[in-house]
Amino acid sequence: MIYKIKKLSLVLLILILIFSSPITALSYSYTQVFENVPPSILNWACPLNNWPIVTSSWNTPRDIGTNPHQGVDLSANFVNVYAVWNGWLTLVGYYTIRFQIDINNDGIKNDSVYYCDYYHLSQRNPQGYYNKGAIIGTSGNGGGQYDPHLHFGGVSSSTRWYRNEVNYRWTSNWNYGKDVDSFKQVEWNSNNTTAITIYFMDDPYTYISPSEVVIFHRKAGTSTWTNGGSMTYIGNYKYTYSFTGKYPAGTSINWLVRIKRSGLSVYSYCWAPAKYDQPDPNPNSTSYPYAYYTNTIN
Amino acid sequence: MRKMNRKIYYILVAILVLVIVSPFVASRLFATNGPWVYLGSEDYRLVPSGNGNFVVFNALQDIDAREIMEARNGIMTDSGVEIIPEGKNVNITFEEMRGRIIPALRFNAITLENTLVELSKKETFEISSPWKNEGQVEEKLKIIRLHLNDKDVLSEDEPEFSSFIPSPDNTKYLLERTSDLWLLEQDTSNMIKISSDTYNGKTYSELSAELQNYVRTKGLEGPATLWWNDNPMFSPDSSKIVYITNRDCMTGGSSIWIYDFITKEEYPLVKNRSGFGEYYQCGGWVDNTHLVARKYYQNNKVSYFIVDTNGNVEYLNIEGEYPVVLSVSDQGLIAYTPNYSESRDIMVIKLDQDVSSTELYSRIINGTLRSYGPELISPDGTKIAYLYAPDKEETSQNLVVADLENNKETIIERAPIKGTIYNFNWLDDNRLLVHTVIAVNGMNEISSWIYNIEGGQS
Repeated sequence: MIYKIKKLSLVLLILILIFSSPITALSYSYTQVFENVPPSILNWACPLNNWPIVTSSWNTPRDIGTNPHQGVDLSANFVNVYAVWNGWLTLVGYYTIRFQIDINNDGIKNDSVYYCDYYHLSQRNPQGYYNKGAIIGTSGNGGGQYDPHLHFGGVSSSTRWYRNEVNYRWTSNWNYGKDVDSFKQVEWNSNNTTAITIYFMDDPYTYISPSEVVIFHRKAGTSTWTNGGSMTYIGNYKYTYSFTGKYPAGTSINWLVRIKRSGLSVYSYCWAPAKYDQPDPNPNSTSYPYAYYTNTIN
Repeated sequence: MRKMNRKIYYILVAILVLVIVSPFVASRLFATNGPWVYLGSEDYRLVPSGNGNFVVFNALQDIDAREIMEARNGIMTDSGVEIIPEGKNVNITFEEMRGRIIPALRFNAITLENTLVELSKKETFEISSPWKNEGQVEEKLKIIRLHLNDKDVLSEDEPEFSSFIPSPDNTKYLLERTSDLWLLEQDTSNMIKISSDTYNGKTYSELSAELQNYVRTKGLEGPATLWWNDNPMFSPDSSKIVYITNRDCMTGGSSIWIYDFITKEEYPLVKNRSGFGEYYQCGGWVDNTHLVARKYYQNNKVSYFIVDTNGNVEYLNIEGEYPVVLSVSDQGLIAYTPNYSESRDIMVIKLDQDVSSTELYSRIINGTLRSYGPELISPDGTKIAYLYAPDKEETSQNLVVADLENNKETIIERAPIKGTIYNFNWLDDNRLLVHTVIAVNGMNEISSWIYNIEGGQS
């Protein structure tokens, strides 16, 4: 009897191993972790002195930590951390500041709820209202990080990470903000051509080009995505795609871009617009609604 | 008829009120007001330069930044794609915007009489940097040479984003990058690399790759930045700099090194006990041979010590549950708060020869400290100025100026007009450059003032 139970357990264990590994390897995550542009596009101050290097940009596919990266990493070796805008500092856990943005600077919490989170801090100032540029803490490696750095970025109340480059287009630093996000300014030009700028930042400080940029599109209101193939690289990390002749004038279309980074061992993609943690590379293979852009053909 | 008379009456009253009130408004705007001198509704910031130079530039206001964003943005749709109108150049550069979309950059000297005198550019030159930037395009730095009295002051062409670190004697400027450190001497127009090319025979790239590999193989959460010479800090006599590096701590932590401009050599000052996860940061020089440094442990505990230029370490006994040094002056003064997470107290001590200390000032603040930078102590070490928020949820900030010899304090709640106090810098031993802020259409508008501690004409 005992022998039979042991045998059965062994068989079960083998079966679990056989079936669970491929599931793990092939499973995709539809947890919503990203938002698109923030509710208000404000000219944020640098959260550190002297515009340090971006060591990992928002929504960058990578092998460590959150993948794609939720937030922005900046090189910061136990230095002052500053308020990016006027707002209210609250403390979360042991190493995090959640800073509520006072969008219209009136000192009243009457705006859309919009935070900037600061992670891995070694010191945090007391809670309260701080003006843009005030010191609110000290960076560090809090939370068991190997390396002291500042992880920051705009988040919604449910901690979904916003695109940040729109807040830094006012400065010539960080390549006019482009360094902080994996994809930057998404353009629609009058000749029905879309353009998207893409490069990743990773340590050591380098611009990393994507290995593949594929566009999917459909007529608005339909459900199946057409794979439009690779976008055309026109230099300066910019990729374009022309919709001319693909849909009649006046058609409202949806489109999204799948971006691949080579050399990663697990999930290699990020998306524009970004929404889910690690969705299936084929948006037609699931019923989860991917985020997309909408334009009308001229 | 009666209606008409009433109308005329109201108009006359309005004119009378205007006649009476306008001189007061004008005088408040343009004349001195007790200890206050109004410089204008500009965010005048000090150009980073050595001691005793009061050159300011007009920093961008929020409204200017919005103009830049407007120029570089398309029309943002709900889904996040931007429609670019025909002919719009969203890649317009700062250089193209200056004087057109945003105000031209102006440099002014603040005189001893509290006036602004516009400085003309003596020379503008480009440094063809020996490094390449991230996009592998040759990066050039534009430097402006300004003439102030009998000396020159150098500034980057966008001083707001300047990363120049000037020496106190105004003869040297450092430019720090993660991988190297460069020196521009005041009377030259070439940058010289002063950081070493290798450590233990390995280059920055080799050691950086080694560090990345270490982090990956250990399964640690990155990123892992190799700091070759981080946060350099000049000694008061400008003869040395100290900085942080982790090139000798590949398994975690950092150490403090020193570079001597006379011998042109660097050497480790405080070595990390490799693998113990100790991280160091320099707090400031207390004289030409001693500095305050702090050590962070993995558990986020912190301790302070004094280290001399020979590497001799003495632990600094400052009280408090979680003491944090706020400001250090080269007269041996240290301002700190005993419990940073509360920030309700501020203390100033003076170091003695044997690293014991004498308390000069101690206050329990009726609110919480606010800080924008490390310069709290006056250049001559006789006063301290600091900001606090009387109520943590309130938007106002009070400025305190305290005499460290007699502990006499002045609490300044606001400038005569133009909103609440925002931040300040010491100009000299008796004057502060104070900024005030007011929200205009949801954006901060900064104004600049001089506050005379000894009073002023009214």
